[in-house]
Amino acid sequence: MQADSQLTLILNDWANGDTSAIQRLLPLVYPDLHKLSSALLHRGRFGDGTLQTTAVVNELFLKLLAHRPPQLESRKHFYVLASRIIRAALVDYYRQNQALKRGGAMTRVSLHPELLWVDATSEQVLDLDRALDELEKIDRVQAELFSMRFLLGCTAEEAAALSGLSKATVDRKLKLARAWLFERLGEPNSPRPANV
Amino acid sequence: MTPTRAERWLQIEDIYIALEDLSADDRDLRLLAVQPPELAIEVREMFRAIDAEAAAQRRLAMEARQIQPFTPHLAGYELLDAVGSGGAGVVYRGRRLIDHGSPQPVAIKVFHIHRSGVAEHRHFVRELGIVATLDHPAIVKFFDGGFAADGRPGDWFCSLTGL
Repeated sequence: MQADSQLTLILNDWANGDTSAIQRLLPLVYPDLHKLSSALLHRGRFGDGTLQTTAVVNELFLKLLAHRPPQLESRKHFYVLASRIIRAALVDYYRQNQALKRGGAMTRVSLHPELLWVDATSEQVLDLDRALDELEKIDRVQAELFSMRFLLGCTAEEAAALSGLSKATVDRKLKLARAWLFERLGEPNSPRPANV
Repeated sequence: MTPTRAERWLQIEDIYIALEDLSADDRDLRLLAVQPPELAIEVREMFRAIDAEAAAQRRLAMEARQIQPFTPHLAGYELLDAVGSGGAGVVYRGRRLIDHGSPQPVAIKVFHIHRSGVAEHRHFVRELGIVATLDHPAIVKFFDGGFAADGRPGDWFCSLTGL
């Protein structure tokens, strides 16, 4: 089957509520996600030890938009999908590179400059993935805002516009979500990022 | 009926909204009135977690700033030690390597704008052109400038004090 029509079918499944579709989607968007892995591997070239997902996300959107099933109507729905893909990719990347990490060949990469205590190359990504699943059940809005802000790299203003909330409400909900996640994840084991 | 976890979470958020701008003492007083007491405990825990998270973020940000900056390789120059750093960049003591002559001491300023985009780089190049025209005894004489191999701009200054 053509990769393109496969992508359309999988997006349809996801839009119809099949959450396992993300796993099948991953191999099809791997060329884009490869850039994310490169950013993780060659963090020294980016210099600041922070994961840069925005460029990857933009390309993902372009690819997904071309195959948009009718059910995937809202922009927010798309953002939720993209953040799911990024999460799955981070977990996937961590599982594939655990051996390297144990050997000390990899250094710390913060998920976001304003969320330095989450190391995108450590076991924390597994905890984050689980904790976000849990948060979604308790407060879907907070989980979505957190994902937009820290996985997709949206600003608080953009997250506010997408969710139809005020900036002040977004800030408050993010503060609560971060504190809740901090309680569950704690700080990464490595005490500080390696030298740039 | 016992509230679900999601309902309890909403209650915590509502109390948080009412108390977030109060002092710690006023907050504690108000929490005494919250029923049931388990809810007050959860709200107190939430305030503690917010502070702990913010403290961790601040500490890591401070540590990241203290990390020894990247030392660029600049063709024709030798970088010795860093003599100072600020918000904009780091100043190194260095030497300009001259064929058939003794190295000339210089001060080299390397800017922290490696994260910036094309617009910032263009701005940097324009600024170099302006700085190069300045010639005054009280202003450090600009000497040379450009980008390090990884795209970081470096700004080379001839030192007046003769390092």
